Amino acid sequence: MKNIDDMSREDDISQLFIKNQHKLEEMPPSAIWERIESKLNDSAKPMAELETIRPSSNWQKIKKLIPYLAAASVLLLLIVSIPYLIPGKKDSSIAEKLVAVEDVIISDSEETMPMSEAEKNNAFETKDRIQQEKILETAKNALSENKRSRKVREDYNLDRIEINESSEDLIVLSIEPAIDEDKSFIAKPKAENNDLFGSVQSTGNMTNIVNRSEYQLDGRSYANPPTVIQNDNLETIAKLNSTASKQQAYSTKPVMKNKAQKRDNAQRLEGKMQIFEWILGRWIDHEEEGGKSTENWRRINAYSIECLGTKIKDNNKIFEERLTIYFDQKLNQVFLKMPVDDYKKALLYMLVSYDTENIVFEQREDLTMPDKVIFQRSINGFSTIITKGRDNLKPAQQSYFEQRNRVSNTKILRLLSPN
Amino acid sequence: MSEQELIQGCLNGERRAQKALYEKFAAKMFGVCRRYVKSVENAEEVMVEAFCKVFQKIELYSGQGSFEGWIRKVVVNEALMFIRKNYRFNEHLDITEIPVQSVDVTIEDELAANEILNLMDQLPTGYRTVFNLYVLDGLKHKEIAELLEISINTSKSQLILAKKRLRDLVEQAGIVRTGGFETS
Repeated sequence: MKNIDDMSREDDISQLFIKNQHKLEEMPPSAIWERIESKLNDSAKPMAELETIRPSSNWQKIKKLIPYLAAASVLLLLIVSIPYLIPGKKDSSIAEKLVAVEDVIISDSEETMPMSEAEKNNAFETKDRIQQEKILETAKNALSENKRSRKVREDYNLDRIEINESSEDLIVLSIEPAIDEDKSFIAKPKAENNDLFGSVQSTGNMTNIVNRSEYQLDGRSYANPPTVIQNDNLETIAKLNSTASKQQAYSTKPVMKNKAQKRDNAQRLEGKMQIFEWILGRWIDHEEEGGKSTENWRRINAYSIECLGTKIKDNNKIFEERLTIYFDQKLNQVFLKMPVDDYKKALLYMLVSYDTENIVFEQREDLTMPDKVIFQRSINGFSTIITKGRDNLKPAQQSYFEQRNRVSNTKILRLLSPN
Repeated sequence: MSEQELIQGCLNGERRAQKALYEKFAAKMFGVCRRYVKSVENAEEVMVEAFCKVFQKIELYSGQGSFEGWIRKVVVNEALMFIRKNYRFNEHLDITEIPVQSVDVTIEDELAANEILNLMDQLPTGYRTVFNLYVLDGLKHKEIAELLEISINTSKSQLILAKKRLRDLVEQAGIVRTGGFETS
């Protein structure tokens, strides 16, 4: 008599299969190798193309422009040389130039006569003052043309600026201040924000964090609002030009970019957010039971992306949720904001680690809620795995997540592939 | 070519080495795929994906443990990913709820390939997967639980149920000579 221990591999059933499993070995059809080979070739090609395209994309653009540049330079040469080519005028123009040169030589020689110290100082101060006046005037003109700066002018009394004669620093202003400024002012968010899809959403416990897409100035929203100076003692812009505050000043220095560069910059994510470039786009869960589940990730600005996840059954949208991933400049951290129950209570998960395959977010604020969210890349797309370290998920949480995920007691999973 | 040469050739992306490596291990790995997924077409699908991954990720093989074992791991993972797309591993009965009975059974030692496949195909997906992982691939219940994102108890209960079902199927198929029945 044999007692079968079903928890071991020594029972008869287990031994039966262990001893005979080698009989399953069978060479697969030759078409399998051909498919593998074809897949390897396909995966090698785009990488090679990408390597040639990406590093040399700028060079490719320049190459295309070369014929136009050559034509433009030839045209310029012709225009410049026309006066010299026309007979009769040549000598006179050259003579005129010689006279002008002589004048210049004479005037230069006068200026090169040695000056006294006092004269030198006076000349320098005059030059400096003229320069400051010119810069201030330029700034004023630029501000007056730009409507959105009206409020800034009122707030900071730019019209009543007096040049402090003791100031030795030049005015340096920047329209797009550096991201890692230490003393950037963060505007308080409104109590309720209209989210980008139109519905009103409470900010909940996000009072410390700005929804930058909602920052408003003069009634208009801007994707990248300027850093505003938080200095109650501001009297003149000249006083701001100490070394510490140079970085905080508001600027009108124009930044000229060509259209293509502007377009590229407009579509890029910056800094740590670049690890999410791959997720932008539309994804679908083909195998989801009870309907079709999709995710549409889009870029909001260089530091935030948003996802609209929906479940559609029989052409009806039966479920919808929104996720946001953004970079908090103040905390220098990336966060995932994700709803976790039917009341759309959103939790903030902080990015704790990432590599080429896994991006991991965690939260410790609410131990009754899932504590980890993992985005795991694969050949066919990516998986979102939501786990709860302690205890099981509550029934309300399970039922919420079941609406577009596969759910067990402690884990939630969805598999997505490109649409 | 020796195994080292094959690995080096694959690291260099040589097609000849890749093909030789494939031909060396394909039969065994196809058997593994066949155990996990139900149809031949699905097994072929898993084979293609698994070997592509082997060639693309071969640099991750650290040299510790056998190369065949590493390939087998990749194949099993690929099979599980395939299964997960179509199946959700739910939590099942706690192990303490399953009635235990001992049966005096004498089982014939030989099973043909088609009999093995036939028996496996009749198992539900969860049973078959846990049975494969524990009995034939030698994983522990803790490892199975992590892989399938289930609890250890669920893994154990699935195994017991799988063996019970197989025992019934084997008996029905006339492979077993039952010598008696006793309850514990």
